[in-house]
Amino acid sequence: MAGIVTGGCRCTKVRYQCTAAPVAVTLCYCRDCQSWSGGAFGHYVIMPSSAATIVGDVTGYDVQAESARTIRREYCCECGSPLFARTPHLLAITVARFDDPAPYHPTMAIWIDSAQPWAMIPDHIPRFARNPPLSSGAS
Amino acid sequence: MTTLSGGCRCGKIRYTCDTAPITVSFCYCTDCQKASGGPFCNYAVVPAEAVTVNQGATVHYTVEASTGNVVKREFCAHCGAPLFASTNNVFVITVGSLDDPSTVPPAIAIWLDSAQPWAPIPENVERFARNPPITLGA
Repeated sequence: MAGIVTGGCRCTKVRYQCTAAPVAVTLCYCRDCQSWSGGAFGHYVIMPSSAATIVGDVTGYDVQAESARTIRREYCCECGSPLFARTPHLLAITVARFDDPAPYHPTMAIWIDSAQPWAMIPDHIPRFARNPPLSSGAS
Repeated sequence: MTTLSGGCRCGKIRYTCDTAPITVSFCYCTDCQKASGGPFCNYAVVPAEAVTVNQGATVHYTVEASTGNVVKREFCAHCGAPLFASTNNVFVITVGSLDDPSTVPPAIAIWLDSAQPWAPIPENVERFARNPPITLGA
């Protein structure tokens, strides 16, 4: 999945491109990701924080996640599309905002301690009760 | 009687719903993928008149869905949390915005014709290739 991949918000005011290969593709079941996605989990392509070039204005909201980390959530102020979540070291891009989401099979399920009792969790990927090692940030 | 309550992430918007959901759907249509940022939107379908916004106000974005239906998607302008979506005859609440989503398990999976190849789909729900009869309105 190396090479340039592109994506953007629904109303097209925000567009981005990435040149790095994903560090991971996560399904995050934490309560904050439930709120952010409106559903059972957030689904993200995790990249190094410098991986994306963004054109257009995003609106950011800082939230203290269940891990006690501050996460910046960025979305399009016009159409509300959720786009990015950031920690100091990592950039999480919402999978379905890529122009072609099909390649991004999930590679891990995280924060399953907070999953709703009815949430589906894929069988064939590693599971983590809370954060996986990659979120410690040095990748 | 308040049956469901919820709000956005930052607390500026709060709502209540005075009836249990008609059904609870996972919608895998392309526009719901865009709205959630993931493989589906997870909605509690309720009568529009059952929902009261008690605090704050949403902003919205209107989009034409795959059916040609116009869908109004409402979210919080401050924190971006998605809250409601509606067409002429269907109103839905995002399950992730409920104070207690654990009591609202999915009942149907819809628009599976548009699902991503890796999308998780619940096993014990009724499945529909596109819209279920409910969107024809009562």
